Amino acid sequence: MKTIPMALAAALFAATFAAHAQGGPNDAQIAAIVVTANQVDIDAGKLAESKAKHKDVKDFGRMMVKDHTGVNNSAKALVKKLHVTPEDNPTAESLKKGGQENVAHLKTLKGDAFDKAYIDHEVDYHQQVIDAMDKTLIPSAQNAELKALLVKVRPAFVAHLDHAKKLQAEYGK
Amino acid sequence: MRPCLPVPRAATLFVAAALALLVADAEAAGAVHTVTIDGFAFKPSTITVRQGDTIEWRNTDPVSHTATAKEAGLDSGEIPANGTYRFIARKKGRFAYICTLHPIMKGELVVE
Ligand SMILES: [Cu+2]
Repeated sequence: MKTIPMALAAALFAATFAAHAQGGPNDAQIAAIVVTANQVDIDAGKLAESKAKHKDVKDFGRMMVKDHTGVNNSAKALVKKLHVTPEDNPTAESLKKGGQENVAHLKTLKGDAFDKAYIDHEVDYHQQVIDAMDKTLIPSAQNAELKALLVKVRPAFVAHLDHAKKLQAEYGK
Repeated sequence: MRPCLPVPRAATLFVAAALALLVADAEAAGAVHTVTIDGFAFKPSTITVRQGDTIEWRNTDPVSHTATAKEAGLDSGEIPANGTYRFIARKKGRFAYICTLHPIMKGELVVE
């Protein structure tokens, strides 16, 4: 039952990205998507830092907070340098909403159930962000520096996905 | 015994200066090699140096990484965004090293 909202959120996420892919988001919208995507994972990571049962899940949460804060700082610095004002858009909004729902759901869980739900979501989430980067964000970015930043931070999501999958093998599905 | 005082002090200073020179010499003797950490990867992934050479890791990513190979005596600790870490290769051998924060990041250090 827990997987239903998650699958729905995933579908919604994919659908909004697909809808956007046709016109493609502009740079200001991409900036908002990147900042939101990182913030969503920071929020979930903070919760895991305090609520996770297993130490390696807690440590993973702490790393998500650290790494995504670092990525966001560099994104924010670039946006400032380029004088781009992040522009809200349906993709960023659905990311935010999905993140809030995930955190709300996680707050109702504890112990092994929390660890499993958190890690399962992290695997799905990082995979979705990577897909979005490859299919939409990187191809759509107009400014060369923004595109370069996306390319540079993409491996962060790949490393996190790999790490999350290892934890999932132990505590997840 | 006032007049004696300057002598041991001068001697100490001399020894200290000589030691400093020796240390500087030892470091200057080896070449300095740079490994760039970029996009969660060590570039180049394999670096070959001579014993006594210095390797400098430059982290160009917005997140912290480490360069760690216990058998080589290499343990950078966290290298922050835009930070660097220098290491003198004292032990010969072929060492696999990783970032302990992101273990999919792998490199190899060859000390000849
Ligand atoms: Cu790393």
